[in-house]
Amino acid sequence: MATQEFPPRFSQGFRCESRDAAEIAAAIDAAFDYRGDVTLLLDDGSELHGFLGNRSWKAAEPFVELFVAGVTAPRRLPVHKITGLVFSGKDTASGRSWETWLKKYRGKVEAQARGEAVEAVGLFPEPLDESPAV
Amino acid sequence: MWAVASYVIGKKIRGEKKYPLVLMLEPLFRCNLACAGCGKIQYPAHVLKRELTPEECFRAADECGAPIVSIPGGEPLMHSRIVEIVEGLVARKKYVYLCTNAILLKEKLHEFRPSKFLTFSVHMDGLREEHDFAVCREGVYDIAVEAIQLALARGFRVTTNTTLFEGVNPERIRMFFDEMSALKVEGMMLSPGYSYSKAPDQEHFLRRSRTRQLFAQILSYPRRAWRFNQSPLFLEFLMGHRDYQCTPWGNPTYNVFGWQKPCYLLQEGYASTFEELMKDTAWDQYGTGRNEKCADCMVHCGYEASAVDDTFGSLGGFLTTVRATIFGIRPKVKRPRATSRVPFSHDALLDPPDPVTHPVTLQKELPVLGRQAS
Repeated sequence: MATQEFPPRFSQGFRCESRDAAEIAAAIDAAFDYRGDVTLLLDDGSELHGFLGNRSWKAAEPFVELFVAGVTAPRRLPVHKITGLVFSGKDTASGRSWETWLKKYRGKVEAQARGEAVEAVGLFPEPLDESPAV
Repeated sequence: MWAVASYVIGKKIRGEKKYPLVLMLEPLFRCNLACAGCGKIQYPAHVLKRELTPEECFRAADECGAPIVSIPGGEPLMHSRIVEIVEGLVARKKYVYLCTNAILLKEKLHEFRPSKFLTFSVHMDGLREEHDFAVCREGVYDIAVEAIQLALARGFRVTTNTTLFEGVNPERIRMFFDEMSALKVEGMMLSPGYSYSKAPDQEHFLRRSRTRQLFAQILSYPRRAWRFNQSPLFLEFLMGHRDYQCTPWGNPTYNVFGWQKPCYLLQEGYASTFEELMKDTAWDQYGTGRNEKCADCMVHCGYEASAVDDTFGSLGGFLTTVRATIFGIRPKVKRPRATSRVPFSHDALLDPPDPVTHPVTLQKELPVLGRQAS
């Protein structure tokens, strides 16, 4: 019987540094699915932080596109320059908002049943930080 | 209807097999709701703040050439230049469907001008209790209804769009159609929810057989007052009366990342131009039986284009559409006579019956509204 990997391999904090192109490619694909920022480790020793919004393996020179906060156009980087990735930003898809909502809603229904005065309940998006829009 | 018909017929005459019908233009991902069934808005703040410029939107519309532009999101009314975008698309004679939860509609309505090319498509997932539950916030239904009434009073075209999930009561959805019809919305649009892998709620997406059961029960013997702003063949597809393969290129999607491959629901990569999207996407890898991610999908953005193509692709399809348009969609499930309104139940939302052990069936004792065939 298959066992579920826990914590999931490609979750927040995951780090991959490798000379194996296949391993880097797998990490890039996972980063494309990841709903948080990542940090790319480049072959010149520099790092680049942002959201990996696209990657292409079919291009003559395979590339990734990184959306960097405060910069309008995405940075396009050849895959061969990437030596590692870190899932450094918060995974915005990992919340438990459904459970939170059920808890709030159940709480209100139960309070109503007890005859208590209740207010409308709801979930609200997290406020965005003060960084500039692009 | 005529604009779509002439566009599709033109494509057929020119022998074009793959053509877009509706451009899904997502000018931003930011939203003022946090619905648990949505897989569109989970991004870091700096991505949520990004907006397509009007020029990028116009370029996408021109590149794609589809006669209809649907503007979902995110919540498009939160876009800082949405009025400019809509006006530019209307000037291009595109039929624009601005999909909104209507929270900001009352406040922003005065900025828009009524036009036959502009329709506000208001997101409504059922009656008050069900809708507020689906969007995870109480009070939103009432706000939306007030905004609909105001928009209609000011001469705007208004439709509703409804996504259905596991646990909905078919009879209450019929009551919801009655309420929307009483508001005199121009049409209603329906779709089963798609199981976004990123959506916080993974339990309530409909599986394929369940979708057919549910829609057959909801749509059999539709009332005369109901108007659907959809292909009747697509509705019959949802009811299980006919089968279609997906047309993923029918509703191409453009957003801040580019042209989304292959469709509105799946994100497998992005192309920088529409031409690249059409040329480089491996279309035959998507659709029913071709991809596990498509297994349960019956969503309008993939299958309504198939239904429209069927209408104009054969005499049989055309005559069936004419029949369904004049006489209504084909009834299948016999329904008992109405006795009373179906009350709202918290339990149905919080603990919906297991679809395996309690499949949707028509119960003889189940009360149904209005005149019904027996």
